[in-house]
Amino acid sequence: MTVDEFNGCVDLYADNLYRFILKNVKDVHKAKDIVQDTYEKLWLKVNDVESTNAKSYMFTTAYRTFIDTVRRDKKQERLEESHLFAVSHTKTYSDAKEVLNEALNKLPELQRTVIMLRDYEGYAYDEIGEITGLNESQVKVYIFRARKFLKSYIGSIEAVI
Amino acid sequence: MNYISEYNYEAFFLDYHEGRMDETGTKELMDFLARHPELKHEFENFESVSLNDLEEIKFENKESLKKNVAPVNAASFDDMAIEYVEGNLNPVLTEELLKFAKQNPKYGRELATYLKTKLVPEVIAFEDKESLKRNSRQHPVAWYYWSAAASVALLIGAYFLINKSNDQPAVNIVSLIHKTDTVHHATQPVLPVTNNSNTNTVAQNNASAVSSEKNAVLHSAHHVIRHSYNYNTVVNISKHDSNVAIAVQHNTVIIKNDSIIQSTPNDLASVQHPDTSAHKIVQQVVQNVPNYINPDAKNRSVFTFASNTVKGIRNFFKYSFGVNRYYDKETDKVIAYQIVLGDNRFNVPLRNNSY
Repeated sequence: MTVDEFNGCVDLYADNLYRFILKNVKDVHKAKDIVQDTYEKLWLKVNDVESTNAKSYMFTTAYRTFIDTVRRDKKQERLEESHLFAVSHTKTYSDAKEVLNEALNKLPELQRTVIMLRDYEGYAYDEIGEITGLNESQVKVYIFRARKFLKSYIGSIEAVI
Repeated sequence: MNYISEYNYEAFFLDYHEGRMDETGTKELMDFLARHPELKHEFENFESVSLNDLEEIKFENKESLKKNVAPVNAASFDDMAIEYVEGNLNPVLTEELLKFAKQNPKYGRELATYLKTKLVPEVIAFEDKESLKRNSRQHPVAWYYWSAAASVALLIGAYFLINKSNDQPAVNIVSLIHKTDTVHHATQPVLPVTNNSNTNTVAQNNASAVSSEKNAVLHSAHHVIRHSYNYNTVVNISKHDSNVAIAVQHNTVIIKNDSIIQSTPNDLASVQHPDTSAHKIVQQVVQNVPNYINPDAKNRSVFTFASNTVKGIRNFFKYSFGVNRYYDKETDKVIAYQIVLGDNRFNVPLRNNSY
């Protein structure tokens, strides 16, 4: 990868990477740190990583860094699907997007990750598997569960509204 | 065909039953059966297993074996809906799903909810992308090292350039407190000395009186005159603009030019009294600061410069390391160096010293 291609990766993927990490880590500073760290790591591998693989490399690296951060901080909330029906509906929502964001935040980390990679980045199942270290079947299962959760959450909110 | 015999009659039986035998053949077959009545039973049984008879065998209740082949139903709806949202459903199944949803309003609403689970990318910008960009292909870590090395070389070069043209440096004012100053109320050593066989020796030196405090080096850039790496903190001298502040035994004396202009707290007497060691020290500083003559100034400045450089690098890498010096209290010569690595300190005495 050339320097220009590296800088091109900044223009092309920095926002996507930042969004992906920010949605997961929910901390602006940590998200920025992870993005910067990811580009540092890419720069160290600039001679080894092809520009065509750069995006996948960065998402993989960022995801692993995020996981390390979560494990280190031990702050990540994990909400099982069974909690769905215990969700309080006292909050008011202005639009469906807000409801969806709320539901997304309620997802278990891995389900949130795979569905964001799927919907935001348009990755195929096998590519998501490479990034997250899952096999294709596991990715499908997590996406399936995530959609069922989101659908149930949105449905329950709509029923209340 | 050959003549019919007891060795090939099965072929004739088959031809007869499948209607492929002409009249002559049929007559010959019947004549053969007349001659061999023991084969007549076999001929008739052969006839009874005609495949046409199987068509009449019926399995009752076939419907019970049948499956509901409808592609979309209540049981499969979630799978189909999610596949539809995922974009994996072929046109036929898509049509079936939409048809099912239309016919069943409940599932129609659920399908609409499933469609809402598709995340719409938000525009979240990473500000300051320029900070992530690079300008050269050089290895970044190597770049840091080379930058640091180049900076050190540049600054050392600049130092010698400045000192070459300035025999009396304007920025390095050195004041000496001579060893004849007998200040004997030094109390606490600054430096905990560890990890070296010379620990006791150094500790003893540290506990010695301030008479060894003659290395008052003033660096205008850092506003610090004296480094108390290895001696007691009886005297602290610093520079504030054109003033020199001397802290002696909890008193701070501010000197401007060659006069004491301020003293805090209110124990000025101890500094002003000619018999006190504090007074002597102050006087020495007052007398020597304007002259700032020290034959050893350049070497010490190099060390100080190197020390400051190391501090900069240390701050950059966020790791504590550095080198301190020990002076002989009688000769004012460097007798040992102390290497600081993180929390560890190693004392390295010089060979030509008894230290």
